[in-house]
Amino acid sequence: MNQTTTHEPTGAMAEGGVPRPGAAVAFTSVRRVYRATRKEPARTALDSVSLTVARGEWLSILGPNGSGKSTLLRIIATLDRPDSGGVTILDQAGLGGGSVRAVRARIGVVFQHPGLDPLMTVRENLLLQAALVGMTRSDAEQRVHFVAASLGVTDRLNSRVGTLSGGLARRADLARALLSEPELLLLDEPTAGLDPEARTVFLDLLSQRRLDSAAPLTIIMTTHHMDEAERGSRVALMHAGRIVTEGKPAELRRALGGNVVVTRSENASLLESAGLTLTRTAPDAVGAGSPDGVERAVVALTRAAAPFSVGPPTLADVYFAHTGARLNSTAETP
Amino acid sequence: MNARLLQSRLAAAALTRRELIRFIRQPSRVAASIGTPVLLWLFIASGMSRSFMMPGDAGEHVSYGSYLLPGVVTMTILFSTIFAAISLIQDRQEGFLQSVLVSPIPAWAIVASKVLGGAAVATLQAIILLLAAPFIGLEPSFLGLLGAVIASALTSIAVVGLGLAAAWWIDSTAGFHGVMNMLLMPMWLLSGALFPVQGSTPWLRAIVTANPLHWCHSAIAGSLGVPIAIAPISAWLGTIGFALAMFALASVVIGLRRS
Repeated sequence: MNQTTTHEPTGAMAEGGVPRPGAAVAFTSVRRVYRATRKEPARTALDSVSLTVARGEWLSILGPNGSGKSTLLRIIATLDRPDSGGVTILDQAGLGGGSVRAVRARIGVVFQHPGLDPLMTVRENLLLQAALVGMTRSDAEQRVHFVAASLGVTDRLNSRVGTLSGGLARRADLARALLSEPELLLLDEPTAGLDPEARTVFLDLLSQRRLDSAAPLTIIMTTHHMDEAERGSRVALMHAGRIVTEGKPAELRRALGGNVVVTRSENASLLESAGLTLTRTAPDAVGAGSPDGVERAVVALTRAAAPFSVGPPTLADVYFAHTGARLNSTAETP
Repeated sequence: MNARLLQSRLAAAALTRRELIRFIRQPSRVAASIGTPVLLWLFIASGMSRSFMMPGDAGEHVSYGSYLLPGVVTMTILFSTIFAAISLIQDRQEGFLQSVLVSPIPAWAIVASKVLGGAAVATLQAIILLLAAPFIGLEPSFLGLLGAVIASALTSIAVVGLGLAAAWWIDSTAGFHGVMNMLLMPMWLLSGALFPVQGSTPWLRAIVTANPLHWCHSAIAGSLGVPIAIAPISAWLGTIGFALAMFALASVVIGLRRS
């Protein structure tokens, strides 16, 4: 099970690896290497990444810190350029000067840190964003009220951002990114630092905005939380600068084969002796394998009077099966 | 005017307004920016005005307080504009800068907003100091005072531009302070701000003459009627060129490293 594969997304690419026309984002064998500095050696952030995101799709990019997620997103956001490979974003290929401007006018980006001025009010921040994308003042006022209402921040429009809670600041930042009605919304670990309740509220609002959007809204979101990744219509798993597999979350789990057995870490040896592969050892031990292996593990655990449960695999199990690494680890690129 | 240029100008104006809002909403910064020139003003006007006399152009003597005023104006501009350039590092650390960088506005509009915001505050401080001129023996005409204000604004633009180009490469505010002090303090000391260049050794005079801050200081001093070592037209052309060159440098640096 411990194989690392370079996955070519067959469903998203036409014959010969040529991106389908009209895709929101198309990467072909993209490579990005950060040069060595006095403090750090050279690092391959993206290694032959091919990926196509259809318009209206919600792609979650799941991977641990250092797997290349943020670099991939920065290239799509026009803040970084690949060393080699092809990039087409919203039909703009090559990303020269004119193409970059065209892309920037049609995307919204939510970064790990809110892109708002803490000394200014929410309204002032949103009006500033409107000016940056070339809206007239009257259009801007209308959009500010509409977006603020849809994200539940209307009553905080006149509050300084620095006085908002983390969850509210995130929602205000999402309002900023959605102000210009972007075709493509990029979110780089947008719930980092939020408590579980604030995370759920944020993601629910994001889902609702996508449904309410008049034109198809394409979302690309990086995360290292499985539950967040499950919100996407498709998930790409990244490890060491590569996309190791991608597909619908349910299909990825199904492809792992049957159920997995979860028990306490100290009983991990029973899972292995039943012929299962350990996809996780902490905080619980998880074993995946054939239905026969699962049955043998159930018998062994019952005999040992060890507590256990049997259920479908998670994306963390899928990740382990493809990389041999755990999702909560730091994936160092080669 | 084409639509894109108009959009860029409106965006630059909105970002400049933000710089001024940030200034007003930091009371300690407002107090320091007004308090510093006022204190210097008091020291010059009452303390050092008659400490010793400098020879003037037409045989008359200029008090040291009068001579020092343009130099103090220049120094105040340097300190104020360093703060303006540091705000770029703060914007990066707070995450705000990224939201600006992914917007469709050109690099020059980002630079213009920082430069105009920073220069406005620095020029305001310069004006407070320039009000001291009549009280320490200088008798500039209205046009002379206006010229000094314009020269101060051009100096501010130049130093903010230089600061932005440096701040783009530096991650910490402490490091930036160190680099700018290392660069700007010698420039200020060698600008003729403390002592007249006339009578200095040829090699020192050559260095001072090649120093862009000397041109700025001379444009301010000449406008106030303080003796200067270069022709006024040279001082003004040098100051304008310095401002344009530093603005262009910041635009190029930010444009090149934006993606």
